Amino acid sequence: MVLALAVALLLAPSLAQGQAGQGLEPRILDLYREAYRLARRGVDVSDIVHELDGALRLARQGRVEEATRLLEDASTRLERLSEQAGGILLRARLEKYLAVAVLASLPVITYLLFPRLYIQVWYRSRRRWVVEREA
Amino acid sequence: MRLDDEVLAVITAIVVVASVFAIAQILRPAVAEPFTAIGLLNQNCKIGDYPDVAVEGENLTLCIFVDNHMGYPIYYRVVYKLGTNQTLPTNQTPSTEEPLMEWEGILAHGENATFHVEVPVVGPAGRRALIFELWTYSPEQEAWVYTGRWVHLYVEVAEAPFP
Repeated sequence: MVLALAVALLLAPSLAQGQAGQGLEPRILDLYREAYRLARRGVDVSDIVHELDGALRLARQGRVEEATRLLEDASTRLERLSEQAGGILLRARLEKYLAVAVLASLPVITYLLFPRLYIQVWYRSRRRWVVEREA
Repeated sequence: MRLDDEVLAVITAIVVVASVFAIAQILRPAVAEPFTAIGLLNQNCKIGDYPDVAVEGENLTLCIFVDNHMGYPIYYRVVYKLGTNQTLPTNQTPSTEEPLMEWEGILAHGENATFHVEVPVVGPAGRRALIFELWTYSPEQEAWVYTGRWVHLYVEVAEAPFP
């Protein structure tokens, strides 16, 4: 009995440490879910994730006001990103397929234009050559 | 030097191979093999020189490393348990021991975190395993899910001398 009590007393602070940020946990979870949803669609949410991690640490240290401020900022940024997500993804997709199209056309361009380019360079490099008749 | 057909064919072939390689790099999935990782480091956050003896009730300082390569941000939880070689976790199931402490964080894809932890060594004297399990929050299941990743350190626990 005494041993059990001693163990419970010893563990009490450590368990409390893990629970410290629990007041803000539902809010952090909501925002994490939103960040996850956007990330799965291909939107870069790294900065917002850093903010959420920071808020989690602050909440665990009992600095609830600072944590709440960070969460508010993250929430605003997430809302803005959600609204712009369609445009961001469309632009990223267009850039990707444009790059593929350019790369795919390189062999044809090389085949058609390289001989002409080579001839031009060849002539230019010999522009000052003087042709002499052999005696 | 004249650019004959054979030379042009070789140059075109090289460009074709380079283009195909570059296109494959662009079109391949961003994360081919998603994974998370957990590591245990000593109190200086280095590999090696781990404590192997502890007095009952003593706090040990160690370092935990968590890595995310899932392709999306993870909300992770490192759970500390104290067990024996009979109660170690497996790749599928967590340890049956009760959690004693936990640490949480959120990591973006491709990032990692290293942090100090101070863990109590309690319970009867003998060979004990300090177990650290990695759990992540699954938004689909709306629950914490064991990742199958864990690390453990065996320490010989000695009885505390009476004052």
